[in-house]
Formats: sequence, C-alpha cells, structure tokens
Amino acid sequence: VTTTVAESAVSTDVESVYRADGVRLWRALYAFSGDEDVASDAAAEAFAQALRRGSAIRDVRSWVWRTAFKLAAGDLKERGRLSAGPVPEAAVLDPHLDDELVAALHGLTPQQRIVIVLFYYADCPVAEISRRTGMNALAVRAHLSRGRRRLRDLLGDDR
Amino acid sequence: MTDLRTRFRTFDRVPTPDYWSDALNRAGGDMDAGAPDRRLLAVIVALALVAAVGGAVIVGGGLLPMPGPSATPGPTEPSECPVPSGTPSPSARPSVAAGPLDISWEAVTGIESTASIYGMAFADDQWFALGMRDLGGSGEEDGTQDAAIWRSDDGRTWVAAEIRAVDAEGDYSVVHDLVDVDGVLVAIGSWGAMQSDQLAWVTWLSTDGGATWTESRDTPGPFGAMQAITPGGPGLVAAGWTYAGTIPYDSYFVTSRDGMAWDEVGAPLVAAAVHGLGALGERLVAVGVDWTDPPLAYEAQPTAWYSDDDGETWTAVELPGAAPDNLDHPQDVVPFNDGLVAVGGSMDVGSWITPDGETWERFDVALNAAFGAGAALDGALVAVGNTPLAGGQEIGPGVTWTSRDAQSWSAGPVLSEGGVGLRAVAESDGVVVAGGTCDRVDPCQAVMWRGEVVR
Repeated sequence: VTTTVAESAVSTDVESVYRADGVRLWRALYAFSGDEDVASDAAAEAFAQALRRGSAIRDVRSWVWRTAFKLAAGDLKERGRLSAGPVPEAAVLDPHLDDELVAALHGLTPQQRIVIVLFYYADCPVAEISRRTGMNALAVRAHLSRGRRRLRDLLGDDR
Repeated sequence: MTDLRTRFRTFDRVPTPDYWSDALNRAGGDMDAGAPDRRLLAVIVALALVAAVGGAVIVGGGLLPMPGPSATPGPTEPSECPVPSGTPSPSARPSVAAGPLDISWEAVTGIESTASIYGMAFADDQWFALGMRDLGGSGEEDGTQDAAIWRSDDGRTWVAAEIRAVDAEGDYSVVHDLVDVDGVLVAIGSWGAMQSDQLAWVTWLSTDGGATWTESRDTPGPFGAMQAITPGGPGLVAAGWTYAGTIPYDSYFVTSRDGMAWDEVGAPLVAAAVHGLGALGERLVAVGVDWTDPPLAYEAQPTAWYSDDDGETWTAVELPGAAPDNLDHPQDVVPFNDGLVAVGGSMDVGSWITPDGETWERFDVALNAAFGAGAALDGALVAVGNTPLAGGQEIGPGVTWTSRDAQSWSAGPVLSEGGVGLRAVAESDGVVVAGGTCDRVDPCQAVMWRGEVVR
C-alpha cells in the first residue's frame, strides 16, 4: 500500500484526534442518542470521512465532532427517534448510567440535548460548542438556556 | 441534588469501543498510517479473547476500553474539553500598545455579572445594553432568564428598564439589537418556548426614552428569530432566521416605517443565515453564511448579499474564505473607508472589506500575531471613527482588537481572565462600551466594560 507524504500526514493528524477525542466523542454521542450503535456508526463514519477528505480539512477535531453529531442526528431521524421521547431500551438497561439523567436528557429537544451534552459532559465553553456543532453562538446559548431549565424541571431540581 | 456536571460524569463509566479500524475500513482501507500492524496480530488475538471473556478492564476506578485490532493505540481517557492549543497569552502580546487606538478600560460592576449582553447601542443620547438577565439570582446555570434592557447616561451606572412582557413565565427571550426611529426606540430579538428548539421573532418599543418597553410577538410575516436591524428602506430593515433547531435554515428580510408594523420583503434566502446588516447609501448589504453549495460537506460558505431595491431582491456574493472547512464566518459589518468591513470567525478569523458591497477582499487575519489559535469573534464590531474595533474572546478571556486597515490587527488588554465572550460593543464620542456573556458555570466578575479612547 502506498500513500503520499501528505496523505500520511493527514491520517496521522486524524489519528491523533482519535486518540485524544475518540472516547469522549463516542460517549458524548451515546449520551445524545442513548444508542451504542448510533454512537459507534456516527463516530467511525465521521473519522472515515475525515480520512477521505484529507488535507481539505484543517481543523480535524472540530470537523469530526460537527460531522459525527450531524450523522448521529440524521441516523436518529431516520429511525424516527430524534425528537424528545422515551429512553432507548438499551440505555435503560445500561448499568453504568444515571437512569434519571438519561431519562431527562431524552426529554429535551435534539439541539438542547447536543448542547447540554457538550457543555456538561464534554466541558466545552459556548465558543467551542459553536465550533463543534456549526451552530451560531446565539443559537447555542438559546439551546443551553432552555435545555438547562428543562433539564432541571425534569430532574425535579427547584433551584 | 447532585451537581449536574457531576451527574454527567457517570457517562465516563461507559466502556467505549475502539472504532479506529472501523473508520479505516470505511475510509477505503488505503490509509497507510492506521493499517493494522500484522506483527501485533498475535497480541490482538489475545486481547480480543480477553475482551470477549473479561470485557473492560478496571483502571483507576473507571472502565477503560480494550485496545482494538489496530496498530493505533486506543483512545485515551478524556480530559477537559480540548480547545485549540498554542495560544499565546493575549496579555503578553507586544501588539497591545501598538494598536491604532489606546483605550483605557474599566469593568462595569453596577450590572449583575449573571447578565448576558448580546447587543449594545448608543441612541437617544443614552447607552443601551441588550440581552437577558437572570431571574433566579444564581446565574445562567438555573436557566431562568428573561429578556432585558439596561440603560445608562455615562456607561458606568446602569439601570434595568421596565419591560411589559407578553409572557415572562416559562419562555426564553433575548434582545439582540436596537435602533432609534425618530424618537421611538425599536428593539428586536427572539423568543421561544422552553420545550422547543424554535426561535420566533419579537419586538420591543419605547416611546419614553427607553424607560419602559412594550413587547410584541404579534408580528406579521414568517416565523423566525430577529437578528439584525439597520436604518434603510422605508425606515427600518431587519433580518431574521426561520430557526427551528436544525441547520440549514433560511433567512428573510422585513421592513417597517415605524417599528410597529412589519412587512416581509422579497423571497427568503434559502439555506442561509444572515448575521449582520449594513448600508452603503441606498444599497443594503448583508453578511453571513450560505449552506446551499458548501465547498466541503457539512460546512458553510461565507457570503454577502446586496440589494438595491429596499430588500425586494438580493444578489449573493461568495466571499473568499480561508479553506473548505473554514470557520471564518462574517458576523457583522460596519462602515470603513467609504465602504464596509466585516469580521468574524472562530479560530479562522477573517476580515473582509468592500467598497460597494459587491466586490470583497478577504484578509486572513488569523495570521496576525494579535489573534491566538482560539480567538472567536461572534459579532461585536463597531467603527470608532474609521477604525474598526472588534470584540470576542481568546478561548476564555474577553479581548478587543483594532485595526487601521482591516488587515493588520492589534489586541487590546485582556478585559476578563474568566470565560467572558464579548458579544456587543458600541461607541459614541470616544467612549466605548463592550458587553458579553459569561461562558462558564463559574461566576464571572463582570460582563461589561467601559473604555475611553486615550489617543
């Protein structure tokens, strides 16, 4: 198998993003979707597309995150599970998870859920969430504000 | 109740698959760097057996994934949200004193630090800060905010204006921009129900110099969030988004003589977001992004539009961008050198100038030493004389930048060491007021600053 120097450099860059962000991205996608298959498919496909696009992508990290969440949302939409609704069965049965939190997350709208997951789980500030979702910062703040309030309502937190 | 952030840490306990080899296979299997190393085959088989039997390995109290069948080491345990690295400290930059404007800044402490400032204006001989304020007293963490307008005579002492809201309970609402129309102050913004991703438009009018405002959601035309407004057309021209939580969305334009009655003009810009509006004589100019034919999947094309018929028809101009995955999206536009300058971006910061709204030149200002790798400019832009002053942040701290030529920029002093993104700035007679939003759950010391141009 032969590759050009540029291709090797690109794949190395993508690989380093995978090593640094692979776990957190997958878990963030899982928190968003409640479905391991959706998370795995979206994450792997996002990295695959980054590899295919090569040097056309300069900021691999942001691009992979944006693409992975778009792919996951698209997958959920195709399955008719994008909107707020019951928690996927697999997530209910996952012994690692906080059941109440998972249920509350699935009571949020899709965009609220993405932003909330990136803010609370991935610890990203608003500007970084904007980079990782492609949303305007105004939209990020709108989803964050409404999502927080809704989440607290659903969790029964009156603070 | 356990802190939300702590509760989210439970996701760290979920075993994560190593999906690198899957990504390689999907990419076509021709990427040498990640190809399976056959020398490790025996090890891989052994690990696969262990994984099949024992599952995840407990390390340091958490569960780590087993390495997958790839030469690439499995992903490491995540740390804090990785942000661009290599950003020099803005305060250490030599360009601080070399800028075209020397501004003496002071933090404004009279306004609550939990406020979020999205717009700033000087109108009717007063300063106005626009945005939302916390209703619960403990910051945006509570998610209990409502639209807010503050006013000040000197930029130092601020009072909250009274807003006669349609519904203050359970809704999200925020003020974005404000203009003065013959003594009537007109503010625009967005609102939405809590259980919705949608944003709708809303206007506020004041006939008593900004002391009291009457909210109106009874606006004709399409559903959407109002983002930018400028004098023009029959009186006012505003742009909004038909935002329902998904990208792409459309933008539309509305006009009004007095800020009370609005009419939609022209056809919507499909799959496009207008971020800023300006005018060059009779010509209206808008800047933003277009998703119709992106240079790279999932991305957007920086775009300008101009109209010579009060917004009835718009001609799109593709703005030169840095790279297919650029994030240098113009966020606002202000007068400059008898033309206009637009700036914006997140990491890839761009600056564009135009003499006529039709021909644009782009400067890759991210190459300037003044901008760190994490610089983000989200729409705070004002012309101080002929000098554009942009506000934003460097990952965390709020920073302003100025330029004589829109090409070489200089960073001002760090206004906040905490996570404050400057989102609005206004100027009058050598006084500059900047405001923003606190980006972290931790309380910010201030979200507004007042500056005086020393030279």
